[in-house]
Amino acid sequence: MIAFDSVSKTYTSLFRPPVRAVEEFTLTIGRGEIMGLAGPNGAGKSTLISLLLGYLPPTTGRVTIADSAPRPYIERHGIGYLSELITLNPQWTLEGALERLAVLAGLPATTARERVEAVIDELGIGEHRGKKLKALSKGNLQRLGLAQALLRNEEVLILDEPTHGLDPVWTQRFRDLVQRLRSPERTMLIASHNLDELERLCDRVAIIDRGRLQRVVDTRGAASRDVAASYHLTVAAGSELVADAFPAARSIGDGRFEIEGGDAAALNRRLADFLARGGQITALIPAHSGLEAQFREAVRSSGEPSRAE
Amino acid sequence: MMRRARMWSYLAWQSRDFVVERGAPLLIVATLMTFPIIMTLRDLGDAASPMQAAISARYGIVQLFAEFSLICVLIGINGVVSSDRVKGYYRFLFAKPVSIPRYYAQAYVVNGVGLVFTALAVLGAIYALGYPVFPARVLLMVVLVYLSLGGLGFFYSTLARFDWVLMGATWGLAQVLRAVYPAHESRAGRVLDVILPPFHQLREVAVQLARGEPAESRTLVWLLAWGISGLVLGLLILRRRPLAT
Repeated sequence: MIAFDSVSKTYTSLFRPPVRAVEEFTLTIGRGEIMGLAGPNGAGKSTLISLLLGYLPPTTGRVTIADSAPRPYIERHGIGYLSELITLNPQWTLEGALERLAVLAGLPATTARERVEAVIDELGIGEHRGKKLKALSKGNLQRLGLAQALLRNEEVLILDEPTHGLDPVWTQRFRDLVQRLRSPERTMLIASHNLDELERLCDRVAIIDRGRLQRVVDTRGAASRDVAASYHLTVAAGSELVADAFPAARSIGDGRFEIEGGDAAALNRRLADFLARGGQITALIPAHSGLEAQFREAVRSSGEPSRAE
Repeated sequence: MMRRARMWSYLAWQSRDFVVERGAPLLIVATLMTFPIIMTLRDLGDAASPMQAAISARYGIVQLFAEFSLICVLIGINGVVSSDRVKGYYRFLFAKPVSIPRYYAQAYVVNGVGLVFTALAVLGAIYALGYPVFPARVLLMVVLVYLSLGGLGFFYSTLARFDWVLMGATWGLAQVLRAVYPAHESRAGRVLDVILPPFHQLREVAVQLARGEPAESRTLVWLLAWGISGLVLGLLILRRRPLAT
């Protein structure tokens, strides 16, 4: 459905040296798939999304949506898009903004009003409908951004930092919403710094750094996996015994240690050994998810800090 | 599922934007420029015969519109495209099934019609408060200035953030080059006379139109050609050139 084929993007300027934001990026996202996009600040995520929307041309390579160049596809079908920054006219009212965007989304007049009301209800922004956008909080603006992306049942949804500014309740509601939106006909790309969120929501996560695709992690079923890559172990007694039971343990202070996970049997054996030696455990909490471990490794191996977004 | 935007339905929103974003500056300019004329015309009836008064009133209104239409067009066209680009509004607007050139072509038309209505309102105010004449032909001045100068402004707005500065620079540069290389003195002058935008003749042609006098057709066509070429080039740029930078 979405394909990046050896895409590179270099920003050029008269007075500054060229900046390579994306280099030889190749990725295919299948119809019905939810793909995550993770990377440190300046890794090239926003550039990739601008390329996908046809707002930027690739320097080399090709970006396609349903085998079509981005702009022709979008001008025919439209896509649901939530930008990282809600760049809408601050003088517009919330309801007015949705009504305008419903017209631009091509909704028939008979259903536009209905859909506007539906997304206002769904995102819980009814009480702010008459407010100007400049008067909305970051969280409410974000909910407006989500609402306008859902005005029409688009086949392609691109969400850039969708939970940025949302409180925990709405973050969870957003996750439920994404699960409801999952459909064999709908392709979604979610860019986020929140690896836990990507791991829960996405089928695969592409990790990029310094404009290059570092790896693609299959996260299907990640939420139901039992064993994390590492744990934080808190002990009430037997701190001195931890190193015997867990040779790779690292003290992080106050009776807390980071220990290896990964293998359930080995983990349980070591915990039993520690308890048998007289140790007492008060907490065992996953420290890093599988995706986070992969992310750290991918970013570490890609070298020094990245240069451009 | 293919379902393009109903751009005609968006006309009402673009008209609203014209009023909200450009209404205040237009109102201020119209008030400042029209008020002295209205005060002058109020006393005209006492000082002259009705026929002389009507002639003087029409003359004054044409002179007013020769300046007013220029300023109106600058306000009406400024940032028509560049404002959305600079502020990033395009990111949400054009994720919808919208043709970017069509959207801005419609905005160009809406702003032009808005300026004609503004001019109508000024004429109405003069009729009601100053002197009861209604030289509707001055609306042609606004249309001509919008089509010629506005077309160039649209073109610059697709290229750069400071479109009004570029318009001013083009105007100024053309004036300077014409002064340095007069058309009747050298071959370079004659070439420049053809190439440069003939905006130095805009006022004269517009006044001729407003008075119902025959305007020089070559200059009129040349003025319109510059404006329409600017509009078409701008639309082509919007079709070919991505909005992000």
